Amino acid sequence: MANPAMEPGNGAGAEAVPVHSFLENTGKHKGIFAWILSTDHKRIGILYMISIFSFFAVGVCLGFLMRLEMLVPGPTGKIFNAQEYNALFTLHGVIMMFLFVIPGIPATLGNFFLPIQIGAKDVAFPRINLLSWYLYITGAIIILLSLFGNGLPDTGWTFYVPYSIRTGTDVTMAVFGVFILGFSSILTGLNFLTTIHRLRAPGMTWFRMPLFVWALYATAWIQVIATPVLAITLLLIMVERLFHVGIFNPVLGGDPVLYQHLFWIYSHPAVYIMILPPMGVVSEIVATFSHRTVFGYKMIAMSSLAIAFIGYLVWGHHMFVAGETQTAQFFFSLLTFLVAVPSAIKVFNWVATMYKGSLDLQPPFLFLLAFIMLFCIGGMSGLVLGSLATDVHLTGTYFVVAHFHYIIFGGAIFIFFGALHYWLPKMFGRMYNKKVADWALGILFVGFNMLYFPMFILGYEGMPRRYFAYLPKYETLQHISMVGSWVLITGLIIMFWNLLHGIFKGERCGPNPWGGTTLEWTIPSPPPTENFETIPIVTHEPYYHPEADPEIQREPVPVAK
Amino acid sequence: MSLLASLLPSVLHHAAATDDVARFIIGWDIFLFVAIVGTMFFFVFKYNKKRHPRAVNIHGNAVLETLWTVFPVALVLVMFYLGWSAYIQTRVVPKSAMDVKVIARQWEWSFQYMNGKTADTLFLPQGRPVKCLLTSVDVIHGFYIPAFREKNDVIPGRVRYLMLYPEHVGNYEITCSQYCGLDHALMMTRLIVLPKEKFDQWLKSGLTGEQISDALTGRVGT
Repeated sequence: MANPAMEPGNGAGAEAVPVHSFLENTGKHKGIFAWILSTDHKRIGILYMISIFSFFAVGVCLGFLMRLEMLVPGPTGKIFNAQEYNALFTLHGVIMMFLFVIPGIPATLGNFFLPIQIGAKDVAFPRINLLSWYLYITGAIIILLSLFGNGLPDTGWTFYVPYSIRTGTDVTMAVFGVFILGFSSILTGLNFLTTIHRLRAPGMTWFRMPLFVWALYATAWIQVIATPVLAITLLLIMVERLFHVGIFNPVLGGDPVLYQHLFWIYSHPAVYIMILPPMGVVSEIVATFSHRTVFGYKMIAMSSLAIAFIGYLVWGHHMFVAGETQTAQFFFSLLTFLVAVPSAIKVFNWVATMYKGSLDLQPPFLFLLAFIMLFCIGGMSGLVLGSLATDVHLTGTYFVVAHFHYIIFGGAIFIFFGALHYWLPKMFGRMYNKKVADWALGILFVGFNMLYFPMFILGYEGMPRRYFAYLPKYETLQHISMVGSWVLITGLIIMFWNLLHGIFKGERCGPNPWGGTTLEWTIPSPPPTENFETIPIVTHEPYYHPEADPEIQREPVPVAK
Repeated sequence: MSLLASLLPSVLHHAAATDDVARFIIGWDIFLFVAIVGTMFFFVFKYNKKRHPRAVNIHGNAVLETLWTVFPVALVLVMFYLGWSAYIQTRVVPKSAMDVKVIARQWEWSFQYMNGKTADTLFLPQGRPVKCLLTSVDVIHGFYIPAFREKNDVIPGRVRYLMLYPEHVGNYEITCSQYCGLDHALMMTRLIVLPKEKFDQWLKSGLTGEQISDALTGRVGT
């Protein structure tokens, strides 16, 4: 598996042989097969990227249509009728959650940069890596087919029984699809865990790993441990369906709340699968653009693990009004508040990293500033929902919709966009238009807040979610929110157009346009097929800025002007 | 903090207590948001590359990091306690409580009183605690009265309860808060709290629409 450039007899001399970038076809396959049969982690990352952003585009369109329905109050059916609206939010939820955010950053940028950041040539199991992409595609197809098996799906993305049993939607198939996706997730997790444990370059000790790697490490454990719960759920559903044993269906003597428990035992940790990798990206971006080492490296790394661990134990906060004992409510509420603390610590550390830095306000850094604001609002509104008295009032209302969109969209996806602005120049060797990127972010930020902030107020006023018709008193806020969705989509179109234009037509930007210090910035852009010509030997921490060391700065420095 | 004083069992007191908890949490949220984001933008301004071309490495600060771990823990514990203590007040069932059966089905509510009378609007007497016994004949619904800040899921195969303290005469909105299918959004009705004598009259022989609106004239409602 040595680099062709280093093999004897390959060309005239080692110096003269060009290093092939991973974008050039060097394998035996041609055309599209050179991509869909490639075991190169970088190509697989891009396959994932194309797939999940296609689903994201579909999800955005569905969200746009949902908001459009809010044009007129009351059940007029002028735009969509109840059945159509119910299908819209079900598909929006399923596609965004299972097909976009859960694979999200780990499958795309994680696949691409994890091996490079620890100085490896690929993940530990490259073929299993490709298999997990195929499982993802298979799972996606199964889910979409099962949803349309009996006309428009209308269960909501949570498939709560007994409604999902009565509605005729094939919940068995849908959960089976999610289970297949889960396998894709488990295999990616296993691959990352093994890669991190076994393939670190010489000198890359645990505490010399970039924080993005730490975040992926914590995420991978969740993927491996939480996802099998889906298998248990599926098994129980099949036992009930095939042998008519009452497990979930009250008609057979089952308990529908048990289904909710199993659903959230997986789906709550899945929230941390969505948010931990973005937190890792934030640490990378803040370090690079502050031009200094991060504040509290170990605290940030350990808080990822703490979040992953406590995150298992808080699923019950989705079910405060769904028939829990008071004892369960007590502990789930308490633990929910405690899991907020490691996230708060991370935010403090990121802001402290800016202290005495030399801040370069490039587009990725501006995305980070937007992330901190939106994530704070999202996290802090979560405190209102963690508290029992207020949760009883607000659960099932627009307040919850606002809360999780601030966390998942304002938090995870905004920094996903930031990560694209940070790493696409490395992946393709070309720079997008930075001015346009700044403008796109501004439009996104305004549109996002217009779209989702009114939902906090609507929720507190008592408007339940998943209503295709609403009372006239909510009209003004609904309209602000609807117009916000138009602004947001404008921002998305500008941003993606700018990024795509940059990938194909942008100016060449060299290996290290931002002055980053982690290993990916030491290799050419786009990276060579084998990543490193020679495996690097790591001698220092990931965010190594000797020029910013106070010890060195105390010595007289020749002024370079 | 008035919130920690014992709560009187009345609807408006529970709504106010819930709002107090919300106010406490949101108040701290706003303070922390301004502090964090304000500090961040101050750094962005002060340590901008142009003003501050040479960064200084700081690996951490044990005192600061301990402080910003301990303080959030203490703060969230207070928030937890306030939410919990306001919530458990609503789970106490006084002996004097009147039982009303709340039956949910796709997509309507019906209410059954102890004398066998049924109605599709929830009429309650002012000043008497009410224990709503929640049952569903089909799927899971959510019994939600926003003005009372109370809701509970209605689950087939279980009988669950919700305590109401109708302190004031008035007309309030009841909605379904758990997605239940096609006309989920239209599964609405009203809670009408009448003076005791009017309620007794309604329970015995019924009231005309006019009599009800007379009883409600000038009263609160949502």
